[in-house]
Amino acid sequence: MKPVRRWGWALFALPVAVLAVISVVVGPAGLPWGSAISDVLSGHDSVPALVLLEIRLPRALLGAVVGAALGLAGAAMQGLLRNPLAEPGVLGVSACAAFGAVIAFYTGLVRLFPGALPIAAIAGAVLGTAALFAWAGRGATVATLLLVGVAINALAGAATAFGLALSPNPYAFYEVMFWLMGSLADRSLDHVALALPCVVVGAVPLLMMRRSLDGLSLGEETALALGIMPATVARWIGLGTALVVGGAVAVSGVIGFVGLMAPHAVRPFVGYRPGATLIASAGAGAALTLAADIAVRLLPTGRELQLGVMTALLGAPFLGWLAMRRRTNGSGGTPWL
Amino acid sequence: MALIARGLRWTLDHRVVLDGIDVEIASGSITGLVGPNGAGKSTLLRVLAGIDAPDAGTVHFDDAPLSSLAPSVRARRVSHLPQVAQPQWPLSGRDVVSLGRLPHGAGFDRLSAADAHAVERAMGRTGTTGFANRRLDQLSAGERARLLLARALATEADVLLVDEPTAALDPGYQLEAMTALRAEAARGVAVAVALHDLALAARFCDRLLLLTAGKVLRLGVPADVLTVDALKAAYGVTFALVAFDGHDLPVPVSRTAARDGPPS
Repeated sequence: MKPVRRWGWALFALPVAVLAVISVVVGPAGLPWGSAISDVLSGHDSVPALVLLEIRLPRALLGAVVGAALGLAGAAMQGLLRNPLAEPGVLGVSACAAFGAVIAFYTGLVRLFPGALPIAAIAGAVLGTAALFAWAGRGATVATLLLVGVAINALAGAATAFGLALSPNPYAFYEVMFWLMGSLADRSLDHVALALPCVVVGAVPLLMMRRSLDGLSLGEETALALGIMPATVARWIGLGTALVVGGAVAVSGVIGFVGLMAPHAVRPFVGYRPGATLIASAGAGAALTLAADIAVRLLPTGRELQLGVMTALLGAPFLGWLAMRRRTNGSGGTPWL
Repeated sequence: MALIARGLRWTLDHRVVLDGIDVEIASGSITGLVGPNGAGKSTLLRVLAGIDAPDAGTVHFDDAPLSSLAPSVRARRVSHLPQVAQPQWPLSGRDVVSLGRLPHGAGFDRLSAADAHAVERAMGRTGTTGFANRRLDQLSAGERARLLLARALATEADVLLVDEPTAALDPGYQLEAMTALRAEAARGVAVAVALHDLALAARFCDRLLLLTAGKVLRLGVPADVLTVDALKAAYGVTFALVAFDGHDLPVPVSRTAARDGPPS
């Protein structure tokens, strides 16, 4: 497929906009739309206005922001490590963010001030990323980084489970447990105000590395020949990933598969260019997360399904289909998707 | 416009890979690097390109230390083609060659007229124009190697350092690749190329550097370097010299036991 040009961004922005509107419309309570919108605009605190502003809108916005963050981080990690498996979830960044958030829950920091949760999540993500690069060592190969990332992921997961086991009462246990599985239910505009700045600030270094990621697509030797320092690129991408993933995890818990899947879904449309994949993947991540969040609300389950469960249910077969298609395409056993 | 190296020494885990190398890559000519596997040809090219810093010795470009240049400036002046590329994504042929313009500040979707012109010229010189819209995974190893050479040419740098550009090519394209390098030298570019094919080295290079075990065994015009004695000492192989068009082309005949340097 030829790279999409000019109006190409609409290809990714349009589904996000449509799904965001659907996300606002879908919900258990029927809304009188006319009065809800006019009440919101006139600042009148009616019930429909509150439902729209305090429940539906934050949920749709968060779905887009969190999904875009995960898609962006996944594309950046895959571009940097030049490996189709790399993803914040696989490399332990998300797990470390979740561990940081769990610590904030338990120590009561969350009750002291609302900013504690994202700060703890971002601190966890930054520490996890720093540990990843430090542990793997200077000039580590991609395989080493992946192995170390998997180890960090397991370690952070175990530490989180350990923290849960020390939980003083079962209710707190369940609360954190469900939060860990990822959800966008019962969030407010405050959550949007927490996540959005982190994601926007973190996206800056990631997007600035677009050209460097393109330069890395023939390997580190060629990148060095082109005057690109892979270690510098890795530092900026590590920092950006920690910020966007930390911000996302702080408000939504751990939503898997989006960061892994979104880049693969868009790559053929951008001519497999790693730099162009970033923005397209952010769009795809947002669309995917919104779609999954709409699905959990429409499914007639007794208790609303966790979002992380839904993305895995949708994502795993999709990824399998992509892998199959690639195999039948006969790409000669080269490890790309 | 030349690259001048003095007293280069480079070690890896206490193993001396380069040991006191003096060489000048002069503009308008091709300097060939020959020698057995593990002699240090690729390492020398990387050090000359400013990618690896030597443990001792200096590389000067235009009377300024190469290490004093910012990486992007250095990449703009000195183009280096590594022996192996590890392409991960199936980019289009044009995108691969466009990467050569990255040091000039270009991006895939931000090619100036000069960038686009350089890309087209490089593809024309390597016979890869037809691969512009083909995906990298649909090309053979030889076709990829030609695209990668085009990538190095597209930078249009003052110095061109190429590591075994002919290894995967059939004889026709070997000649085409070497002719492309000759054309670069004719434009005034300082070219250095690591080669295993000594017949190509004899025909296309102005000067040759015969390396063994990180040391310079011979340095000079091909006729002085590619002698039966020197080649036997370097490769442990008896060569016959076949006269052709004013060149003595070495042809390997049989292995002899003695080798001067360690085999690897």
